[in-house]
Amino acid sequence: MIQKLRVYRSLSRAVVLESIRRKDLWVVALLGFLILMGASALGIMGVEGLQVFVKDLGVTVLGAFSTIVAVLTSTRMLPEEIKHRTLYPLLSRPISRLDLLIGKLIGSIVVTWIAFAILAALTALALLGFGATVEMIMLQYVVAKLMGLALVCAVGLTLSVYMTPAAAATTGFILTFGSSIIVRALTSSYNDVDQAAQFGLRFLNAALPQFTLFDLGGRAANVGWAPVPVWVMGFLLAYWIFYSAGLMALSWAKFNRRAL
Amino acid sequence: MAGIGWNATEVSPVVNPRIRRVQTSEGDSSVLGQFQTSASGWLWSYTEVYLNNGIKLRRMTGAEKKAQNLPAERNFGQTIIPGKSDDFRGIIGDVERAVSAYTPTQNHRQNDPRQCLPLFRLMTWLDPYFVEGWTTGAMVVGMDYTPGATSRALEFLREGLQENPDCVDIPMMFGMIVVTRNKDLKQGERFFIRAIQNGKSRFEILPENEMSALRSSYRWLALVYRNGGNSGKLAATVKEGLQVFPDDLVLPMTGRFSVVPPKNYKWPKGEVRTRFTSSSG
Repeated sequence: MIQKLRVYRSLSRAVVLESIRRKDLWVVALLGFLILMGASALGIMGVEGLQVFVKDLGVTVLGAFSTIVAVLTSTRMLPEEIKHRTLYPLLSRPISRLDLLIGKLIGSIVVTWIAFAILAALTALALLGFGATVEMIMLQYVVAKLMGLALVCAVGLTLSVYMTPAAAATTGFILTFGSSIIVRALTSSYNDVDQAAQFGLRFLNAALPQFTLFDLGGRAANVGWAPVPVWVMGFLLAYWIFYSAGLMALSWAKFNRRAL
Repeated sequence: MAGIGWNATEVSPVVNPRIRRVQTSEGDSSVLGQFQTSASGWLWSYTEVYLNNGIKLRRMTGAEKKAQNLPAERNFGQTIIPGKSDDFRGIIGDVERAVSAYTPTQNHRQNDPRQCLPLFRLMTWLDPYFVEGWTTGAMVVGMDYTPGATSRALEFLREGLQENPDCVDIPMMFGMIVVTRNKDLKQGERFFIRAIQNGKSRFEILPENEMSALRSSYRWLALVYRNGGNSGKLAATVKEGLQVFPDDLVLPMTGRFSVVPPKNYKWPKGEVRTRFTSSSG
């Protein structure tokens, strides 16, 4: 078990170092700088009364930028290893293909979480500058968002096993940014379709990743919303783990049969 | 084709209403213009979310109104996230309702509209040609009905009028406030006349909201003449208004008092006709 953990640590460390080498985190810092600049521009208007608006804008921008990092990082890792033929020396070591996938997934999650931490720190700085108060729900927002981003990484990695990097990234963006639209389409059309179609909608609802569940931004940005019950956070944790495990199984099923 | 396009002078004002083109030399098709319009439009729609403390609403569909025995011709709000009884998703639906800003429509509390003031200030700063931002913002500014709130609302409208001198809504709103709150019929008359002039000069291309403001301007101007005792101008205004809006049922009724004012009623400034006061008591 310890041996496995060492393998995962080495693989994920390589992903993080690669990300630093590619200056991805510099881009994140630049995006964070844009957040601060945007906040300064709003400051010209006078901050009084704009706290809720700025908070909402902050969580929206934070969610969007960190999701972009998660999708781009997770969808390109494996194809690049194959393209640059660096996969062969990796697999010549005593690690299985499943270990490789898990290690890469952990690496992409770590990179995404670092990016999120940088962006969150800069957003928090901007929000504090506007006098926005930090509530318990904000902490829950961060925890849920971290789980949601990890789920995005799992989806991105799985897509990259089945598709080209460009197709995987595009599909990843559609699934993540279009998640709420897809869910709304399912719920609003359910009562207007026949029984067979309802079965199809139920299947889609179960199969598609529910990224909207991990976004507490609506509650965190507005005033007076109570923290989310513990069972809900527990459900999110279980959903993330089981859904990611399912995706890893799918990835492994494909990647294991792949001729390299 | 180029010749046809060259002669088709009416297409451009319809696509880009003159109210914006007159004010900005670069026009709405510029990237900055598009950004301004999009940003202010987004802020405009965001005020509703802001008022509802983050709860997002949508209009009910025809089928939903029918299922709840609600009149089809009226609009009703419905939370974007369906309620438990209408949601097939089971626990996933429960979790979404728990993590989102959600309460059943009937029970949610609305925030004070005055909290949206910074948004109106921001949207009119981003897009000074967004007339609804100025008029709705002025109503929110003046919600208190205190002299201070009224003067702030008028100041807000004055800024809007400087940016949009040829629009109908802002002078109409200006006149309405000075007549109803400051009881200043003379100033109100000037603004309603200006609104009507603006509306007539761009009548062919007036959007729905400005057409409605033009109709209101005729009505208000007729009321101003009625309360000012100027029956000649009242008749002329009603006549002209009915030529523009032949289907209007209110304009013909503006000539008579619909409510008998109490004895301690303070008449507005200006020349008040004595006929009514003498006949009523």
